[in-house]
Amino acid sequence: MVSRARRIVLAVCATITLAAVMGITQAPAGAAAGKGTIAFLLSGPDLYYQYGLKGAEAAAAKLGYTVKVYSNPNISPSVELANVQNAIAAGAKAIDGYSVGLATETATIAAASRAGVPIFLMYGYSHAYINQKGVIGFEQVNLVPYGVPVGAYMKAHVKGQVAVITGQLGRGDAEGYRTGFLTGLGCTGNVTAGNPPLTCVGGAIKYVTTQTGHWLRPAAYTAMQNIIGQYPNLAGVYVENEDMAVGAHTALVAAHKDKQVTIVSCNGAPYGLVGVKAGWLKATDTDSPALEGLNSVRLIDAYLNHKISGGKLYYSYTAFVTKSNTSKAVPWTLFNSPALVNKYMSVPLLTAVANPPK
Amino acid sequence: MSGTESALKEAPQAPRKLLARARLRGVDVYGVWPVAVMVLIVVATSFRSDRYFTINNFENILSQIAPLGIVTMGQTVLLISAGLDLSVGYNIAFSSIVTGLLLEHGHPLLLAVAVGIAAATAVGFVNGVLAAQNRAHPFIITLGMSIFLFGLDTQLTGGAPVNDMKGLYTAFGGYLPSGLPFFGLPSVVIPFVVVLLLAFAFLRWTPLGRRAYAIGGNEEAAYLSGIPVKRTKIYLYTLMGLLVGVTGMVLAGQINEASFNLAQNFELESIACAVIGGTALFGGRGGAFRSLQGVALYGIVQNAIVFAGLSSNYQQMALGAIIIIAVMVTRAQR
Repeated sequence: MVSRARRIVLAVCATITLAAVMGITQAPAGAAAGKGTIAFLLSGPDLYYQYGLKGAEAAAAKLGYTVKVYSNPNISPSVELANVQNAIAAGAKAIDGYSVGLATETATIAAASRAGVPIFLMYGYSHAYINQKGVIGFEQVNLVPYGVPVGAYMKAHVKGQVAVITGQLGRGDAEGYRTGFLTGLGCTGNVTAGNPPLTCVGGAIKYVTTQTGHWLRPAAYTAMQNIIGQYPNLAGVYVENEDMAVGAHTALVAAHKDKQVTIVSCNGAPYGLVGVKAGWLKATDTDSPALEGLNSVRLIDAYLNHKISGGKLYYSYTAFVTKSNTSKAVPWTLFNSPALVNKYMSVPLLTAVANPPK
Repeated sequence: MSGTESALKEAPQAPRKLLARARLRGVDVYGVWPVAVMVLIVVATSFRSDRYFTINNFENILSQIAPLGIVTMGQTVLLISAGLDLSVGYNIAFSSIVTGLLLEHGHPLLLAVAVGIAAATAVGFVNGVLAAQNRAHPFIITLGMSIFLFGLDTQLTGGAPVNDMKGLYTAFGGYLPSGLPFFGLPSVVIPFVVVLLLAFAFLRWTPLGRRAYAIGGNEEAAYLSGIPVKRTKIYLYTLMGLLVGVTGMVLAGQINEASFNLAQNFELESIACAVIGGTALFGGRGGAFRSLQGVALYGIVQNAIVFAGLSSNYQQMALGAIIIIAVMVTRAQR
């Protein structure tokens, strides 16, 4: 039995290896495209990053570049540095994409700068990097203001206890969203630290707890279960992305509390907009990773053609939506629509933030 | 003569050995320390929050530990046989994705579930063959499988989750009827209890279960005594794959999602729970109900931190500390 099983496993392994080799040896589509290659750092397999890549590819195809993907599925700083070195060695005209974190950016930007390869990053803005040689710029949502309209919506529609389910704290984005939400909610006290409890709207709302959902749906499910157990009269919850919002909603449905608790979120993912249309997600602040990716390549092209200078911060287009205006959200899948790609390729380039915040 | 008295009579032995055999009124102190810690946490948290000690909250804890509990039973069996499986997280995701994609394309629920579980079982079989045939440690073999599955999961979904598990959500997304015999428990508890009892019976009363202990205790001796070591390993890893498939169905049904990150960290959490419960990392010792203690402690700590009003960062600190204590206790036991 063992030898037969071994033969089966060996056959499967051989087939997979053969398929992989065939994949490697096939020339990538568009390899001979004219303006050169843009290396794209893909940190992790999350849908957000995948769609950012697809947006970049859509723009690159229009502008005559090839996008070569350097993936980093385990979000490893050392892999990122190796990817940057490999991209430089392969003759990339520019580097685009997502760094795995603020600390890693130092080495990434330094390597690109040394080689004279311009680099543009989506998210991870730090004032320390903006003026370094070869940095074209950063693009991301304006973190704190992104959370404000969601908090203002909650303030207008909810009375009582409110909770927050954050992503992973420590990178700045989760904290920034929460600060914006608490500001919009009208909380008094240290909204930047975000430590509960805080009194909001003169006592009409009380911010009672923050739990992390690690950006993941299953973790948000557990967090929501625990929060609703501790605060059975909870009136509202802000969940910092829609993947987690789906998990929180599922937990509330299981606890028969979905009619009681108002959920608001951010991102504008396809399943988030489905939730807004269905009514269980009351409001969300949206941005499109595909549009961010598309804009990143447009900005790189403008830089390479000396139409813009480097060292700038750009804020992504965002749209706060409720059930009545979901069409305001730019689709995450705009790359599937040639008409939408043409539309966003022809709008004016993003304008840089005049004085990037320190 | 009580166990403590008999331990004290062995005066020449080193104090550590005495402690290792210490018994309190016939109860193995080392065996029940997770229960003692759980009681402490429950009592302490009950004082901090009047909503903690409620049926509703304990139902929540049960529903939170059930999927992890199922896979921990499989991990326990493997650990007892001196194996382990680091591919469970992405194998759970794989089985859920296979089922989710089939459901999305309109295939019947039973077929989708069967194929999903079969897919995970096949992965377990391959792990078993590789672990049995190679002298490499299963750590590296299953790590390789985990990386392979991570890529496969992402390729199958493109990073996008399957958002509607249809009949699976109906089955595992809610609660059982209130009153006898289910008392309104979360429905995910049923597969967990079934797997727990089967794992207990498997380890206690089946030849394959006894072989797992023998191989974990001393593989060479087991081989020399006529146990078909390689075949047994293949069976055990395949069984693990089956349980992973079941976990995939339960978890995907509970969360109503199939995605590559559905069961992130389950591989390490399941090993941690088994070790906390007293299953030895290097084989030969452990049991289903011991691992139940580990899973329960894990869930109770996560939940209690919320009710104690502490930051969720403390969850990680507390869980890390408990794992370290568990390893120290296990070593002292030896």
